[in-house]
Amino acid sequence: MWKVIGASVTGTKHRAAGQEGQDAADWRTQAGLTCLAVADGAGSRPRAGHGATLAVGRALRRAVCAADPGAADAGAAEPGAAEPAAGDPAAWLRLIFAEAREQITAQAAAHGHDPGDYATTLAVAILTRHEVSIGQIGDTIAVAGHQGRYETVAPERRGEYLNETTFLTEPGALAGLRIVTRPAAEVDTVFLATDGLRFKVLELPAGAAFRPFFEDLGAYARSPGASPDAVRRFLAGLDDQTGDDKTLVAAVRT
Amino acid sequence: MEDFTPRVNEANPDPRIACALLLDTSSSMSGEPISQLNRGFELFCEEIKTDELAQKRAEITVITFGETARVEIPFTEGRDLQPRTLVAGGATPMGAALNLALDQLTRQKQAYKQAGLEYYRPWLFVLTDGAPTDGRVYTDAARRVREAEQDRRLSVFAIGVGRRADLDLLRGLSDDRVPAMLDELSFTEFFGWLSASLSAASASNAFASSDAGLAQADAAQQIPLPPAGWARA
Repeated sequence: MWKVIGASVTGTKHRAAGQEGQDAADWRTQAGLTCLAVADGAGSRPRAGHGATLAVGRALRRAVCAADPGAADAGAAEPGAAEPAAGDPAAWLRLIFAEAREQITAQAAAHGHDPGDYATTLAVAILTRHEVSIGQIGDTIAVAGHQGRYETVAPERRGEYLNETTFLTEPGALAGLRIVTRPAAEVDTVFLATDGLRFKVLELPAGAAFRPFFEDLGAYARSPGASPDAVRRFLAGLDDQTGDDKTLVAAVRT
Repeated sequence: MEDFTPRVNEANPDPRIACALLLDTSSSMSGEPISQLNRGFELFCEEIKTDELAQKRAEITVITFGETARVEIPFTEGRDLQPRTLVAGGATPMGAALNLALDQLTRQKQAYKQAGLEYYRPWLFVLTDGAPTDGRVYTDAARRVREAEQDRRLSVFAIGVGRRADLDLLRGLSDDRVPAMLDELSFTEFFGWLSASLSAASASNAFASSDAGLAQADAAQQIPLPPAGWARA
């Protein structure tokens, strides 16, 4: 069984400017499958927060279909399109990212907007009984843990400059989808976050997981009193050195 | 309810944004223009310190070109930046100043790499009220600058000050951005804008694109130029 905890808070820079947060996060468990998703809308784009919310929502709805092929889908799938086997989370991730992108493109088209206005990164983890699979586009953070060892999973290969990343909405973005799949028995902690936390939970510039944080997170998430509210308070009170939105979702095996 | 107070990493250094300011101090800047330039830079030194991020992330160098092209202030963190009274005189060796700036920026990036610091794409500003007087040196330097921007090694902002500025020549410095025009007595507004822009850039992590072909490819693209308030139409 996986236990999930997470929260998202608006960054101090956005709050000071009277803006809403542009991160989104959610998770769902159904029929033995757990899905986590986080997204970070591009700060400079007018509808990026909406893009992040659309991407996360779409990812979770589609993941439910992977868990339970009979479940009602929200509709964007092509009629008759071949669906991956339920036991192939990497194939599901490819479908999920494609559909999240389609959802944003359709939304933009319906309103006469540029899809780039909805620019967002996206990370999705699918946890089944047999496998853990994590997909990412952009500079999201994913960490997998096992018996006290924590490893950053498929970090974005950044360009030379800090402020450059890839967005789901860009042409060719799906070709850059990074998927890592591990046997479920080799993973007992899955962590997703947006880049607002990178200064606090990673060791830069190498990007390795900052182990004390993940030890404390794992212990807390497993404790009976663990609550998203407490995670939200932690995030809200954290000086992250950036003023960016801060979002994390973590699943621990109980 | 249990509180969540995990240990977090407090040891990560801040990333840097290097900004080279190339200021024309030739004789045509004498009198009120150089006074306004000095006043504007003094205000900039104060304002940059009021932004929590920019004061430690922005590193500024001032290179002047008048009697000669020289590094007036070497790269200095915003929080340590001190005003300096610039004196006008001499010709306009803008090409030599550009070469100096390119070398300084290259050296600064090497220093960041050696120190294990992350950094943003550097900014290069050129403010001039006239035209370069170092002919061939300028032509070669302008080509170097344009190529550096094409290779995404820096972002160039060319600003013509007053009516005598040669905007056609400045246009040759950047394919990405047209030169802006600044009223010769509006340096205060310019430096206010620069401080705000460095604050915005310092706070950014991920709003840009890795695709060089896209318009939003770097922090500088987020900065509207010319901004309202200091530039003439």
